[in-house]
Amino acid sequence: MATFPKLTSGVVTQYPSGRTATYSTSIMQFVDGKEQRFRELKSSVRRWLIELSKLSAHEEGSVEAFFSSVQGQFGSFTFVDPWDDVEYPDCSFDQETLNALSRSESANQTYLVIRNNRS
Amino acid sequence: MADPEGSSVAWDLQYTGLTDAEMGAFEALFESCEGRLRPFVFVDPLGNLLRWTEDLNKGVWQTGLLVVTAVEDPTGGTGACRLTNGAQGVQRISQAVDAPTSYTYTFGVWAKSNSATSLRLGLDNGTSTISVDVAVQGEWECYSVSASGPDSGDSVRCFIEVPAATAVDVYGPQLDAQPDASEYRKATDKSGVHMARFDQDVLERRTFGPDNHSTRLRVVTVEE
Repeated sequence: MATFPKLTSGVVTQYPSGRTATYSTSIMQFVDGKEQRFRELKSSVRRWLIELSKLSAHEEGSVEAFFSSVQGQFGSFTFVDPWDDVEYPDCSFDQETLNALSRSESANQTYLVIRNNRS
Repeated sequence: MADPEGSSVAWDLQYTGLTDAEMGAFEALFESCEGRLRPFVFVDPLGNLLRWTEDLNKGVWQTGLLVVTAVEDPTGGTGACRLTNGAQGVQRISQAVDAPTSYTYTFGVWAKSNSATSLRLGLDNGTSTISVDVAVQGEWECYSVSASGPDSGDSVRCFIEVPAATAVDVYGPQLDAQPDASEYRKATDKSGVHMARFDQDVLERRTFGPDNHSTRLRVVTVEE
């Protein structure tokens, strides 16, 4: 299984970045104001919002090559959460398009969304 | 046509500059509740946690004092109460609130007396009591006491102690879940401690640096 590449600094993301936890709850509301709530997912779906703005040309090339190797949303890979170092063995890109902007040799930027597949 | 029991309250809470531990605590609660699925106890950060703050004869107040309501208050209304201690020893009036003792609370009240006397204001979390003695004069003045307690308790009691053979007017008792007293908010039958749930199934953490996170929480009361 492929692993998401690290930058030359040893990290996978830069500031600012983010992550989300998503559940899905169905709510039935009754006329007396009470509710009945149902779980629709066994566990949460995690997404990581990776913002990279100061990439070298080499680093940006590595990210692009990795994106191509897993064919966008199609393939899966191992991703280590940069906030708590928990390893998620079955993740995919949550985007079909990788946009990269080159401002200079050492100021390439891109934006990635990764989600864990296994719930 | 209206349903008097059909109201709910919602909070939109936006946080910035959170530490790693604070953000982690929000995420842990969100995961234990599984988003909107499970409820939790929510202490209104903006509300008065006491009930019946302008009728100290109500059953939520425990007292051996004589209580007379509809006394002139510092705003020109009649929301104050006169507490009279006809006994030979100190008597108190108190109210217990089912809220976590680990928070920092401030109990405040306005008071005045026709003869110079003193009151004791206090907070009791079941294992310890913090109190302050205040000198009460002929003009209305606001007094307060703050305290926090152990992580494990679930009830906080605030009290006012009146010396023997003393009458004092009090107005605006307020219990805040914060280190300082805020402006008085009248409360009747509803407490500021609610059963609530998240009103979102997605929790986002934005990180700007070490110990520098932001997030947004929406909370709504539930009928259980």
